[in-house]
Amino acid sequence: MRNIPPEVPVPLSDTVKPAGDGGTMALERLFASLRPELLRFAWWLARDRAVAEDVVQEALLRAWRSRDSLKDPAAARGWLLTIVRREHARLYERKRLEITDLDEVIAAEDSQLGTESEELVGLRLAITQLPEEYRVPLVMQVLGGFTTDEIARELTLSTAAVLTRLFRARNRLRRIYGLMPAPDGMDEPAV
Amino acid sequence: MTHEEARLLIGAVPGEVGPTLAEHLAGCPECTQFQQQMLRMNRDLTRLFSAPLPPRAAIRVVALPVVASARPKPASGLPRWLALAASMVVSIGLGVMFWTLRPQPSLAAGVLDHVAQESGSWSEVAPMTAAATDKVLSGAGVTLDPADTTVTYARICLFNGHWVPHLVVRTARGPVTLMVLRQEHVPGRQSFRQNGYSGVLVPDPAGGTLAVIAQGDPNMDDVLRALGPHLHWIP
Repeated sequence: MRNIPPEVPVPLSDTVKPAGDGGTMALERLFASLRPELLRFAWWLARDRAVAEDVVQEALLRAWRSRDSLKDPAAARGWLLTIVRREHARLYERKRLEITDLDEVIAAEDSQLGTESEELVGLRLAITQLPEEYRVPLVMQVLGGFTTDEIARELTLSTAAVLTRLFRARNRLRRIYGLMPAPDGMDEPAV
Repeated sequence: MTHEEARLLIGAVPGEVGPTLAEHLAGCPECTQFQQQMLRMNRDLTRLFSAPLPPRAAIRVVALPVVASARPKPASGLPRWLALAASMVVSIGLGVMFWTLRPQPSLAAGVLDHVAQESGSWSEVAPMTAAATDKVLSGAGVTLDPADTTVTYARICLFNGHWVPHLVVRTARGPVTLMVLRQEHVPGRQSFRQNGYSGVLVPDPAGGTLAVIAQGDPNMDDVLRALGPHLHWIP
């Protein structure tokens, strides 16, 4: 390691680590680069910034402990999103989270965002008010990029059940656009 | 394919049109209109899901168990005089370390790199609870006086392959980042400046390293002096 005199600015290029530690460092950077997306994913599951940060924190700890099971770095995104989803579910089960005054919070947050159209503000609120069983597959599909088969496997549902839940989620959001929801009376296929 | 079946598929996966659905859409203007509406909604969903997140709200959507602000005494039952003595040792130690300088450029650069990656940590203003701060510091061998310090950011971060506490503390000198690097060892104090940040690495009494970073070009001795009395190392 090169020593430099005190008080001399240190170039960031000195972050290069010994070759033997390269894999670990690369994975660390990969985790760091994916963190904003994981946080966004967790926010839409938890609908709360602080909880989302806790979920991502726990998920990254868990992922780091089992990093040896990640064979292909290209699969890291899906792998980490899955861990975040499970960590959120675990937290939800563990704490029996209570929803409190959601409208007030969303309104407060929207006033802080300020730039979204009225329709998007309405859509944001409508998504956060979707039941968990509809919101989770929708977030997994649109934000996470999971296929319906992958969502089905992850949520231990049949593909048909996932299709129904995704349809119902979007159908409920139609009201935001001033549209009548389509008939929604179909039974959900057996899990 | 019936209208209901077509709308189920469109509503579930708006952008995916298989041969059977395509055939249905070709002869059904109502379902085609439904598809257009769903595609538009999907574009909005994609926009919304990629938009910046709201900051931490003052009101929490989800009520998590909150530990009362009056924290229990440490189980170790460490006498107060010993804690005070340890605190004084830290303060004196920080001063002495100023004169024993041997730099480790990679560690300093890594700290700056990490802080730059989490630049949003500086802008947090809502105080963390004492419980949240304690949780992050647990196992790090150090505590912060909850009554005298305002912590606005407390995370356990991955750094050089280890999970380390990363805090932002509001001081009279502005926000200051603290990272407790138990696995890193520096023989003496190292000061550095880069990209609008100033920082110091100092050996801590537990054998690790304390990284202190501030924005701009403040006198880091003043920053350390402001922090020192509020940091307590747990033997």
